[in-house]
Amino acid sequence: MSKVNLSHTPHTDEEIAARVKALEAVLIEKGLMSEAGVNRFAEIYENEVGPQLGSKVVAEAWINPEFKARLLDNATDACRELGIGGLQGEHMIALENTKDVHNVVVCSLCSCYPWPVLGLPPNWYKSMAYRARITREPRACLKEDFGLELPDSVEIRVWDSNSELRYWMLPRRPDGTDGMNKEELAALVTRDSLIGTGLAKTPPA
Amino acid sequence: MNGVHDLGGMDGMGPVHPTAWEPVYHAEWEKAAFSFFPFCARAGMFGLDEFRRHLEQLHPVHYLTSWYYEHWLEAAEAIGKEKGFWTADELHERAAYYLEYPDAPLPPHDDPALVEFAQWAVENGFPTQRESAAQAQFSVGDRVRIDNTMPRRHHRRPRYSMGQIGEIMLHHGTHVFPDTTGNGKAETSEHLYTVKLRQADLFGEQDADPNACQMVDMWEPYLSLATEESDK
Repeated sequence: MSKVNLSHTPHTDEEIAARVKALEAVLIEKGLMSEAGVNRFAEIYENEVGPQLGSKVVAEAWINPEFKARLLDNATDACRELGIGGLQGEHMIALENTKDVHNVVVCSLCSCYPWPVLGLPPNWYKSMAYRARITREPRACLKEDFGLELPDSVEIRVWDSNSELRYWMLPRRPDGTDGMNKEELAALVTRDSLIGTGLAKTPPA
Repeated sequence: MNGVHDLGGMDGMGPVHPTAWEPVYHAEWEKAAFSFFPFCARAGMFGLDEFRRHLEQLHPVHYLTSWYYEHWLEAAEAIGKEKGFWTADELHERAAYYLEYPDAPLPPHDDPALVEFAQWAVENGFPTQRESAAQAQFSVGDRVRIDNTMPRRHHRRPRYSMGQIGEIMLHHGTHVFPDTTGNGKAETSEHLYTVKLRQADLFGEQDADPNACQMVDMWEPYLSLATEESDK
């Protein structure tokens, strides 16, 4: 007996790959797409644009208070000073995480993410579980799913990227990092600390 | 649209399984599936909001059980079909061919403008802020009520926010309004604000985190001033 509508049965990877190739072929014949164009996009987000750029911005803000003020005032313009910006980060807002207020970002309606400073989102960020739970019970989600335990005294603000504004976090500079240079500091900034699901790493004692 | 895409605050989706690192693309086909969006947008086939409207029309069972870029593939297929760029038969026929011959080459095409476009799009993006002479109706600090209607069309008001009262925290100037561009209408722009909602208002004192809140972006037509009488 058929219990489900089979038209919704998941497709195999081979079937999806064939459909992607079919659409790609049609677009190529119309002159609207090319393999080289696809490869260029792929290469950019695999090798050039990723969380290392967000880390660089954070390290600059930790070292340079004037830059930090500009970043918190207008993240789009401040990032441009470092040559960072563009697609899916046309209007960026950096939020400062402090010991009293912890910010975290989600896109409850789709998968919006600040590409210029973080690259393309990992699958878990786009997952149904994250999109649902971080709003429903942020403190439990951060603790149980991400191992980030925040005391009840810390206010948690969950930012929904439901418009074209792209939010990301300026994490707290860890203790014991005085005298570290920008490269050393950037190495402490993780993808999750930019999303708000983690903190910056503490340097080895 | 009252769809399954609107997941914020929903129960039962299980724990998150974060990764310390994961590949940018999980399969070779994801590279092209990702690129459909920018190249079709370049061709004038659709904009971001219209693309989202099609993602929201996927069947819930399918939406919840398929890869994210599969959604992108299906939205691109559907919009191109709707607008006469290709037919379903044309796509089926070619997909059947590539399923049988997965290594068959793609047609050749090496217009350098397409590679230049990739570079240009990544560097510049597509800003949504617009100049407008319209006076902002609300200011930071105002208490506002969010529209609670459920239109059968694309909009960006998450279900958890509907009918809620919150405080305006930020004003972002005027931005493209997804309720027009997402529904096949000529672009308009509206003032955009960030509204702070208390968890206790969303879920009730008993289940809510007393020290957590939800920040959500709202275009002006979604809001009205919460007067003391309308306040609960």
